[in-house]
Amino acid sequence: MSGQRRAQGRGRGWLEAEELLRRGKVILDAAPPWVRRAGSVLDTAARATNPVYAGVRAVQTIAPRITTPASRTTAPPKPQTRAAASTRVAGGSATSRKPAAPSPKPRALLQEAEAQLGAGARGASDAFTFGLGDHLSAGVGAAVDWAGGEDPRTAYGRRIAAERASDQYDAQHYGAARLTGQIVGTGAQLMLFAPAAGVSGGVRIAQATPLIAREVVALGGAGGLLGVGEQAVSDLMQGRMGTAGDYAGAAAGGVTGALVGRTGSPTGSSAAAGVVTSVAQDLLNGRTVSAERALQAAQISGTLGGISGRHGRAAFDRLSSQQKERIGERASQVRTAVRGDRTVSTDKRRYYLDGGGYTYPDQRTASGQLVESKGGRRADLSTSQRRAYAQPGLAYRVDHVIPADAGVMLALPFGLGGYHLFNEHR
Amino acid sequence: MGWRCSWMAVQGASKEAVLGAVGLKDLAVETYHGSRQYPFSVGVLPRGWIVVFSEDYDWMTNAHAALLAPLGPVVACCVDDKVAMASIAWSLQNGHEVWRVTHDVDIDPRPLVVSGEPPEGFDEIRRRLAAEQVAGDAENHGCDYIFDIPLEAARLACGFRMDQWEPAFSAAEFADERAARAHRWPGAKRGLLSSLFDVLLIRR
Repeated sequence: MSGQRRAQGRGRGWLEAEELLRRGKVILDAAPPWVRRAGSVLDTAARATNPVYAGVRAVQTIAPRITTPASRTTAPPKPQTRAAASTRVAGGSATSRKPAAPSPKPRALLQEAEAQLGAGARGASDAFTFGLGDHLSAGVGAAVDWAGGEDPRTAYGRRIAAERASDQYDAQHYGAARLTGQIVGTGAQLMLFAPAAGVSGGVRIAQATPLIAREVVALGGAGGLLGVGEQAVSDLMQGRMGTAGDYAGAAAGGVTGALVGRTGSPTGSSAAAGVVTSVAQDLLNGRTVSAERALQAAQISGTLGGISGRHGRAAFDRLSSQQKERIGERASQVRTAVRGDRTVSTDKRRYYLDGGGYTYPDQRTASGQLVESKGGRRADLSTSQRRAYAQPGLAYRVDHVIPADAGVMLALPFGLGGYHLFNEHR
Repeated sequence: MGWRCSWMAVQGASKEAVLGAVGLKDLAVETYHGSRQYPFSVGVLPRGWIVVFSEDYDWMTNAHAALLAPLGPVVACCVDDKVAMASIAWSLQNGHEVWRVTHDVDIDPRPLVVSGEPPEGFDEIRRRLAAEQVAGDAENHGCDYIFDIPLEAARLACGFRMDQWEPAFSAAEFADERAARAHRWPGAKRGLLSSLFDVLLIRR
């Protein structure tokens, strides 16, 4: 029985979609020839741009050829006359005037597979296009309706409602398939932009001094502040005040993004920030955690972060050597302050090494540390710097700013900003 | 800091002639080359060599070397161990290039391009530093020993290696005031933003 009910449900969904198309066709049939031709072209384009239609139509075309004649009464409905459609919409059998024959197993399995495939494909399409695929289909369909004389806003509203009803139906009845499709679509999109973010971020010199705990905390704190700031800007733009849960969730996302940014991946850090923001905001606002929203957040943040990160790396690369040198020295001064130390001198004074020779450190700190600042894709120590680094008892710190750092610094604000911009559920 | 500088040395000419040839004047103020207190400095080396040191990596060019060529043999060097790990040294005699040794990691990590006839003793130094590089890489020194080879070639030729020379030089700057104002060098006075950074981050 459940199989029959599912078939009826599917049939109703198909019927609604087909009804919309049929109505459009009826309107078109009464329109002047040039409108019919334009409508036909637009309709074809709408179907062609939506891969879901292509995939499902292919299955529909193949499936009936391998089923028995009796089971064809349960196939998805073909466009019907208005009278027949009205009868079915009123609650009759979704598929045929004849009572449905018991479905043989192969046919039911095939239909099930077809439905799962359709749900997965729609999920992937929605994820890949940021959910804009529905809007695109609805928009093109509404244009066809408008050409036939219908009010475009009404037509668009009806079509987008049908698309969303279809998505909701999929989520309710084929949740796993839809989620799988969304994951695939998200992954495909991130992979599409991952190579862009893979523009070489550089290799930090192995002798670069690692971050101490205080610096890691400061880094997370900066990320948290960024998240809160992005939330505030979003609230300002939307004319609303976010809840405490929104802000706490945004902070959590920012902290996560900043810490993951230590990997140097703008896509990864932004995606992580988006996911954590979405999940944390759901939890802290007492909502059910939505995997779909979290995936969407990862996709949007990761994609925008990846693009921005690429530009950040490229921009750093394009700087002159003098500019990179200056950025490296300034970054070292900031780092000294974050470490709780103080830069006391940036004058270039010789530091004489044991065994002869000297080096010119970039900075001297209050704690007696000598700092060598480097900037660029890769770096090595010179022989005198190497001697200073290896000299016992000498506090010699090596800092190295690479293009990946610039990439992450640009990626996080844009990634998180994109998440807030597309945060539809709010 | 490391180094981002350039210098050239001329043998057999007076300090005034050398400075005049490249449009500089001696300020007669003691300074250390590489300290970035002044854009240029000039030093007198043994065997009649005069060194003009610039805090600007991009200042030393073939054109500038050619200006000094009429005064005597010229040895020139550009050094950057802050961003690019690049060291280039070359020599001119009677206006013609005698040798050139180039190390630039933008080409590949451990490159060395040699042309012409480097000074005597160059091959031994090259072998020694190459061996040190192999040993250093095996122990993950993170050190570019090949970087020293052009510097050593220049030292063999004129006796000056900028990261080992200890005596002070004399400060110099452009003789033409307009050229002096237009010259952008690493130690030059910076803008408001840079000054603000200095105020915020540097506490003497």
